[in-house]
Amino acid sequence: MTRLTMAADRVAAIVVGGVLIVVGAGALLWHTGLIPGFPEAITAPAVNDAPSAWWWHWSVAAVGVACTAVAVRWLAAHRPAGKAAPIQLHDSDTPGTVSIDPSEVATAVAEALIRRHPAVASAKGRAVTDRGERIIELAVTTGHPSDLTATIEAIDATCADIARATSGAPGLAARAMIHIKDGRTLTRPRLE
Amino acid sequence: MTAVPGMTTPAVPTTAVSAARPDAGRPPSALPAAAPAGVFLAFVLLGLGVVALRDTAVALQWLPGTPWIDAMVHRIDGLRFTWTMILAGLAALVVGIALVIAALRPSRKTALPVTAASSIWISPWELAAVASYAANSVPGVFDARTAATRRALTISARVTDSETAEAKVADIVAAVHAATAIVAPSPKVAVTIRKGATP
Repeated sequence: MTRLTMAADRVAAIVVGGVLIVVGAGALLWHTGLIPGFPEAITAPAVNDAPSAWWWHWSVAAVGVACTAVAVRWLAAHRPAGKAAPIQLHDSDTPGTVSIDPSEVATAVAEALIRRHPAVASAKGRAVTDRGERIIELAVTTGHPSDLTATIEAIDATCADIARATSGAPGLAARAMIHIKDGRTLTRPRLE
Repeated sequence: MTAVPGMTTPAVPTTAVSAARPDAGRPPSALPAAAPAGVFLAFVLLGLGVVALRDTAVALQWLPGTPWIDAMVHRIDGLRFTWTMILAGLAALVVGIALVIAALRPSRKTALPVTAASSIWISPWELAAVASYAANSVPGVFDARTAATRRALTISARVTDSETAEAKVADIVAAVHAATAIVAPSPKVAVTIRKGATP
């Protein structure tokens, strides 16, 4: 999801929410007499005449097409974070193409973590576009809480490897989440 | 700080920080509350669009029936108060307030930053597992459980000797502080000793 989608969600929610609050409060206060001059009935002759105008059905059709198109685009913008696109490394005036696929880097990094560091029980890597930023996300599970320091050092060293391997690739970030293997069971009694 | 037998205390990592690291990226966070509201409003908009297209098809005599939007517009002119408007007004007020709250609520951060040169994070409930393990590693302490938020760890444990409970609280706090020193700032630690049978 992009920042633009987040902003659109917030603006739409606040506008529609504000309108609903005003309409709801108006409906509740209508018959109380608390607001002087509140009409007994809503009169809107212009609105009543509109459906018989020549332009009405074409306007309804245009609104229908616009609402459907915007809604479909808006829903599509809420898809989960997409796969990060490859990064081109060459200059436009350089012959040939050199590119880095962040997904391949993420997978290789996760495999290297498992293979090289005994403290790491499992690791998964993926490359996504998060709020317009290409990011390698690592989910690293340590075998035991006592291996936490070794796991952090392993991730740190691996991130340094990522920086070396992708030097020159602009706008590629890396982030790791640590998990504890069987973390939930550790909160249960240990009576051995 | 009290050393805990049997527990290897995770120290702050000592990896050299001089090596280059990738950009840290944004902190992991939950979807903003406005996102489900946005999906809801998008579906409402889609419904409006489908009704408008259906009415157009009716007007062009591609479909049988009468246009719904025209009927609704005719009902607005001359609309008077009815008691059902109280219910409708209440519903609109509740949905409106919920939408405004969702729009204004910031995204919830889901993880704590680990002290390291790279961007490493741990969720509060994973840190709770570390805290429980550290507390259970204190001699004379068993059945330690931890409830966690981003700012505090609340540990509830049983002890084999209730007369030394106060001393055990200090030991547990020290052990948990040492084990959770990987995150900065360290969460507050609170310990309660539960009464119960000894193992």
